[in-house]
Amino acid sequence: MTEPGIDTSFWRGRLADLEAADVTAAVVVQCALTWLLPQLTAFRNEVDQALMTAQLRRGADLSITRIVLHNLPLTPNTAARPATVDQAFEEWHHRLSATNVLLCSAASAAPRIHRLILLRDEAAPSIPDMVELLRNDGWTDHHRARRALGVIDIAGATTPLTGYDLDLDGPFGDADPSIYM
Amino acid sequence: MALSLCAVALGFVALAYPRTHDDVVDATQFSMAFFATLLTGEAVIFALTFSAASSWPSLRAIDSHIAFREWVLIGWFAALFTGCGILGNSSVSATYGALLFILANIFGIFSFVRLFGLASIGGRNRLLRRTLADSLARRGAGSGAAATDLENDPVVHSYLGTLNQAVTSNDPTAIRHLVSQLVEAEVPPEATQETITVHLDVLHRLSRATLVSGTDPVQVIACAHALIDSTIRHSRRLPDPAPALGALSRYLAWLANTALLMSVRGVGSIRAARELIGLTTDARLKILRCVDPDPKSAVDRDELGTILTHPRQVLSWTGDFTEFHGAHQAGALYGVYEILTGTKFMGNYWDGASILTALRQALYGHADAVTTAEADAARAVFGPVGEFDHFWALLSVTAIATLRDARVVHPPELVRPEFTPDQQLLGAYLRTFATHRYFATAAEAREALLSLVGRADPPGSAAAEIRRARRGHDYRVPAPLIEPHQRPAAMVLAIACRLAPLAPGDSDAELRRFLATLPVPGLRAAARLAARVLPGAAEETDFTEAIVVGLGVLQLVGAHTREGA
Repeated sequence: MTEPGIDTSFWRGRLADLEAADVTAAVVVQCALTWLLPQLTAFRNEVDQALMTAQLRRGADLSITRIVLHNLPLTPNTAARPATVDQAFEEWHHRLSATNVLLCSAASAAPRIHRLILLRDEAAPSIPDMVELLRNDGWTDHHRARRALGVIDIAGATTPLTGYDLDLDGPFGDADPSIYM
Repeated sequence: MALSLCAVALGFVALAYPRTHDDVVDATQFSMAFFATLLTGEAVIFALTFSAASSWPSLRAIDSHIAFREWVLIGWFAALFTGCGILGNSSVSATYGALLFILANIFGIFSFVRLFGLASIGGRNRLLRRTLADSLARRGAGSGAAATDLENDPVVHSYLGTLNQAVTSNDPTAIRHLVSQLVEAEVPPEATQETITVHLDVLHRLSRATLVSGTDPVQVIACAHALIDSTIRHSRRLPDPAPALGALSRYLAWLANTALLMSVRGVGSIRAARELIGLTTDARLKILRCVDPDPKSAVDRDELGTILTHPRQVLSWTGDFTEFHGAHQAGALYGVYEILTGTKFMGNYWDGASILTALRQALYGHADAVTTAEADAARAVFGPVGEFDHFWALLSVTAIATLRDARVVHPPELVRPEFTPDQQLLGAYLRTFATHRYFATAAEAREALLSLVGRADPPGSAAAEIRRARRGHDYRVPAPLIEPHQRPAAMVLAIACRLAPLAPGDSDAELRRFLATLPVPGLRAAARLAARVLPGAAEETDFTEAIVVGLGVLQLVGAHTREGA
């Protein structure tokens, strides 16, 4: 089945391969706005869960590099998107951070998530979506994988997603409901 | 309209039967005298009954009630026609003016009687009830956007402003009258949502006033009961009563906790806190009786049957009812079970029976799944069993995150049924969720945690549908709705409690194994939460021990039965 712009069976196949011992690294780029559409929520969950499950099972034997958007495009043509897309974007970032912080004990055994910064006049990301695997020291698509990894190396092009500012305790009002009085 | 018709008819009479100059002057003298008398009478009543600063009722509302402007307008026309007629020597005009004076006098009596009616409190209440109802009806008939700025409506604004004044001046009679005006206002069904919003707003203003500003709690509680009854009554008229009932249930649970905290800190009056806590537990029981299709007792015919008919509605309400350590939350699941399966749950949660496990079995069991129409509808809302488990786990996250602070001393005077520091009761509430064991090992628990933290609710899922149904129906409850993913520590504890031993002697190995896999920041946050909400956990310095010891509260449930056995 193919969701809008995304070949889900291809993705599922690649994600299943993450369990294989000869796969030692993966580059996953999910910068297209279609990932934030409501109809893709279930598949987005599936990808997130598959990546984290593989990471948790294989630990430091698997190095996952993910690239997602840092900000949504703000050109006149794209700014008029539904509010649900912005909400989904915020929630996704929060969930990605929380998953890393709550489940990954060591930084070496956690997916490294980079956020691609879109400049003011950029309507779309400069790299295509991809899920590329490093199998027996060879990328499934060397050119694409290198292109994605190269973006991370450019100073100022991306910023890492860390959980340092994640509020694990939840809102203050949980501990002191009288704050709402 | 009638007045205009009369004026036109009198015009024809004046044309047909014009009177002489002297006749007109004589008639006008009498009419003028009476007109002046009426005007003076109205002025006296006004001066004695209303102040110049009165905004509720506003002068505009009084004017439209007694048609003062129309009356003066007729008098002005009468004087104009008479004067012009006499000066211009037109007998028709003068006669018409004299006739208009007579009409003004007749109408003036009507206006005077209406005004006299307002001099009594009953009459004034009737007018204000109608004014408020009309305003809410206009809001209800407007678009959704208009409903958002309800407080900016001039009438609602005046009403709330007057309520604030009554509260500030601690005037119990005025408060009672204002509440009765709202409660008895007859609003059309399309304005129900706006009406409930104002109800909850007034309830909150009164609760805050009695807790902080010293307003008489006895009066406030009587008014609050009237407001709550009215809110429930209005909820019945909504196509989806769940958001309204849920908002009220959440508010009451939040209010009880807040009253306790503020009282303990010496910020709020302890007497008011005691009354408010009593109010909340009683009112939540009332709501529960309206939702439970087969309540333990009923004091009203309305309490027979259930308000909530659709499985999604009952799930939405359950989420709200179990938030903020709400009283009667474990008992509420009996009704939920019955609505979702069409059959009764016969176990006793107080002895450790698990309603959610039985519900899971009734809906998704292999051989013993219930085949009623209710069960089919519930399965359609949940989807596969994994979604069922995910939904209840999310619900427990919110419930656990908002449990009361176990370290706060609960004064004996603030103990009420189902609002106690009793650890066994806390254990029973927590056990409702902890016995929903859809995984058994630490590894599975880790996957369940990953699912809780990482999965957004896709469209069509129960949680997403509840959120969609709630959109635009927040009822402005002070405590905001927080999504479970904003509470990571509670997610850890929600998973951990499902591995914790339920009886003394049961192994806690899987629980410890699960906690051992967690990174320190997550474990520390979960331990902090455990120290806050679970008795005994705060004394432990080790994070894992704090959680394990805290979850020992689950073993207290059914202890009395075990001891007797």
